[in-house]
Amino acid sequence: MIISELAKSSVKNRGRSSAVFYSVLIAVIILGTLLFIYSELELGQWNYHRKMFGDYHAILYDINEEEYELLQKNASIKMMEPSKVIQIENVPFHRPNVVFYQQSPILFDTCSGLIESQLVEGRLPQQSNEVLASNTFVFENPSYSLGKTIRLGDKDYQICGVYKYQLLSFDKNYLFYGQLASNDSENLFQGDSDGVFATIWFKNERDTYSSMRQILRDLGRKDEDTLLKEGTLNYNTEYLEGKLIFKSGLIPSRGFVERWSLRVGLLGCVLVLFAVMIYNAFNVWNNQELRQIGLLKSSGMTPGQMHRLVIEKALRLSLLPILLGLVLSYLFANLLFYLMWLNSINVHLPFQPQQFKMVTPNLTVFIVLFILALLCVLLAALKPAKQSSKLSVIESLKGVRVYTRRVRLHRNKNDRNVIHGLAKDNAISYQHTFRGLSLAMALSVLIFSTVLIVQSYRDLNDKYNKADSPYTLTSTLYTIERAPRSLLADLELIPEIDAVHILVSYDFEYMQSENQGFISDQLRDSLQDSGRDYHPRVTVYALADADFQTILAEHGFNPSKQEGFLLLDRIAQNPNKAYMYRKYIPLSRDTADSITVLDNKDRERYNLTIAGRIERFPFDLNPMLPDQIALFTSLTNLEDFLFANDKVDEENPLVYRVKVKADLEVLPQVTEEVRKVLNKHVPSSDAYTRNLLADLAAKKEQYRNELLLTIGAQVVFMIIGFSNAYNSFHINLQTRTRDFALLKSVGMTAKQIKKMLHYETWFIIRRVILYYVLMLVGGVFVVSAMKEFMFSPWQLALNINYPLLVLFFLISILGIWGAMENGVRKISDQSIITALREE
Amino acid sequence: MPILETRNLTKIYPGAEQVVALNQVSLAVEKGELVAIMGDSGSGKSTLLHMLAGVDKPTEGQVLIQDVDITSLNEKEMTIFRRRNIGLIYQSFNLIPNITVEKNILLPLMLDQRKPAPAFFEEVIQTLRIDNKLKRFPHQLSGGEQQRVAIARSLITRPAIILADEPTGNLDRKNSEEVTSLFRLVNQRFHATILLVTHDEKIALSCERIMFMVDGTLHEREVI
Repeated sequence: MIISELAKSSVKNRGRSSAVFYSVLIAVIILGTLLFIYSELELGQWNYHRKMFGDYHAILYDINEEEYELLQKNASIKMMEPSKVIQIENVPFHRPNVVFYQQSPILFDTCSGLIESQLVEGRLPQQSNEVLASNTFVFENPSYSLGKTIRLGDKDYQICGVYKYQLLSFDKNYLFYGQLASNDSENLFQGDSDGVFATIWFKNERDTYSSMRQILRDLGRKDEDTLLKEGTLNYNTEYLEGKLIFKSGLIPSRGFVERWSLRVGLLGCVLVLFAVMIYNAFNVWNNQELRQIGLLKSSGMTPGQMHRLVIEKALRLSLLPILLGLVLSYLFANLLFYLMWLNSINVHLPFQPQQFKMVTPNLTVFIVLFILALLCVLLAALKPAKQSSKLSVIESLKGVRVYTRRVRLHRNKNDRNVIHGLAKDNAISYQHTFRGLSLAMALSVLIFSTVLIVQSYRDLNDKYNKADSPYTLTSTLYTIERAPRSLLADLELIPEIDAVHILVSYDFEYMQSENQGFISDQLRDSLQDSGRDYHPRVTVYALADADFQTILAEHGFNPSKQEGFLLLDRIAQNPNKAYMYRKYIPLSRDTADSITVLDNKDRERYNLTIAGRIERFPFDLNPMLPDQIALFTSLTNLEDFLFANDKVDEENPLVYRVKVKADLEVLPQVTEEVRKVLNKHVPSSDAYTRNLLADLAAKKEQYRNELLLTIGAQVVFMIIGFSNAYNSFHINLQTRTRDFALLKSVGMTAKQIKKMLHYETWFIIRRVILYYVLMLVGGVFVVSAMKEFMFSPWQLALNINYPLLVLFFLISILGIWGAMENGVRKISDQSIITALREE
Repeated sequence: MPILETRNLTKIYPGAEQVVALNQVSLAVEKGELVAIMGDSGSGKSTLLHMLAGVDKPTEGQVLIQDVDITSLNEKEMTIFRRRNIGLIYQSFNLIPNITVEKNILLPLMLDQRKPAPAFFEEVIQTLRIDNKLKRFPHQLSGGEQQRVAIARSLITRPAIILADEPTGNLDRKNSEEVTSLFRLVNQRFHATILLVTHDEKIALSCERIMFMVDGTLHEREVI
């Protein structure tokens, strides 16, 4: 009881304990803001996914009746809900077919958030005689609307809702959603059914993957990876990973590790920083109460009781700033997100949220933050508690001498400047008192440097790791017919357009075993040296006929005798290098005159004749990809081939890309003109146009957000740095109270003392600058190595945002200097007598 | 002319109840004298020493050292004056812990950017028997050795006066006697004027003059 009373009364002296109060408050605000940001990004994303797609564990497609019965009896499955797809043909609607997707009521309640979010009017089906229709259906079939009855198959349904769903003009199927009636569930496999699949929840979700693997074995199905590749098995990966359930058991997926390693590392560094910050502040406060400790000890307080007293003081003092920090951190996180939202509004992006949404006040985050903060405080108080309990009565009654035995001694050769020499001796002897400051500075430099280096890498990546495309606008057309030849002619008539090209492609699989003599010796050597695998895809590109003729003429090929394909006979020697710095070597042997490929869709093989070789992608339409073998032909040739071999249908339409070169100033008008021309030739639903301005706007928003976060981080670390500087100087000067009194009594003037402390401060700053440089250099090497030296460390270093870094340096140094000046003032005000008095 | 003189020195500490630590103290010390000031705890002897050293200002009165009224000096002037003209020795923790013995001794000269006269320096360290300890650090010396170093430092500038506040207070009997005899030696050999504050009669008796502080007033007693 007496210990609690003593702790309480000690905490009441606000003036003395204010440094601890504010240190804890700042620590909790920053930690809390970080946690709220993580929570909003991760948890928010997880909750969003759960809302949209549900919390099921797996879906198994194409199940038959026997499999369904086996699954129903499976002991590891908690719940299984069926869904059925019915294809109805020759319906009396604008389009000939309907795909009717029926699912159980539970699936509508729990796993249909995405569809619900697409609702334009009405609601989801709640009864088996209700159905959801797409807005395209309602638009194209005006006699049907919300509330009307529609006949699908042999039953009538009421349209209870309309959802947004875009169809291409040649899509033959309308998609409807309906609810499975109870007798439908029993008769899942009777009547018309084009597929039944089961959405599964396991009793123990941690056993999802192992249970599913067992089920697949029991059902005699193919292995998990094959089914995943085929699309007949689906795991709710995002949901499961959010609960730390991974496909490889305890080993998380690569994406998860990449995402979280940086976050956990950052959080860890920040926690250590705060523990140091709070420790410094608490140590100062505790040392101010040393005489009281001496008195208590001389009155009979045991070391154990003293230990408890110091810990309880720390916890009591920290309670109010922790609680206040919880609230303030939540507000600060909201402020940060609000600024980012404002930023996105200014940049005018499509699909941006119209209204600012507050950060979810997650109770778990508050609890975790409270516990982490208490833990930080407890850790910070442990050492002072131990020191206080071990301190002798005499020592504590006399004042601070706790560091005596830890003073590092140094025989400095006689400096002609005595003040400089004394400062050097002191800087070495008392460097342990600046450990907190050095550690805090080192950690904040590490984090800040990492941010700058990663940004430098990103900037270099944006600048040099992409093909320099001259095209500022790309339109994409989907069609199951040949592209109208007048389209290109009409586009060329648009006055502000400098160049326009059309391109279509088709992919094949490269047959390693049947192309033994294909790849060049240089490529073979390069693959051997680097130890990398080579599994390219073969893409046949078709250029507009006139463009293809131009290419043939440029390379001296006779157009009239042209049979076969032009091969882009260049490949990057080292694909890890940034795109702009890549050196290219021949892809194929000169003697290779054909290439054997496989069409995955119909498993047909083709032997494609190579009629010539080129060294650049024609008209720089696309970048040269390291995992691609590109062949070129004319549009007519490829279209003839694809249509003759039935390779084009509604499921596999042709995708034409129109690339336009126009100045940025006229781009908005050009975009409108291009859209008008496209709409003349293809339905508007089948074409999509995007220009460079949208990309630039998105990048601008991203950069502004990053700058905001970088500056925010800078401010945070500076606050931490200043706090540590203040406390470290305080500890240092307090340790040397008697020394300063002695020096003054021996005849050292205030000016000389100040000069000595200036020198000592300069030594600290010099050390901090050295840390900065070492961290930067080390960080640059590490990041460069992690990215397999795509950019050299020198390039990364040159591209760092030095103005921001220098600003950080300067303000940090000013902070250290300010803390020192504050200390000097205190020494000057100190009376020799008070310092030298012995009780 | 006295090397040290005080005229009606008074120090009053304000508060709820005023404390008169010094009450009209007048004192004169001639060059080369070895003087002891005795008194009970709380009698004001340390306060007097602080006034004489210039580390505290009196409420009234003057302190003159070599005819310089130190009470009229500002802090910087007083510090420089103290560096050059006053040697101070305390009961304990006299030395800067993280510099060598040699530097501790030479500290006042170094602060004045002066070099010691080699012969004098040699004589001081030989007299005090610390010539073989120059490269050591304070914590490597015994209490007695530390006080010898403190005495050496107080001598190195050939000050007008050396003030010692309970210099043997933390030492055992053997070391106390040794340090006391060193004060006598230094007084004789270097003609140093030394004023000792002590409550130990034995030490006081080794001095040629003893004064008593009683409730802030100074009384004299001659020793034959």
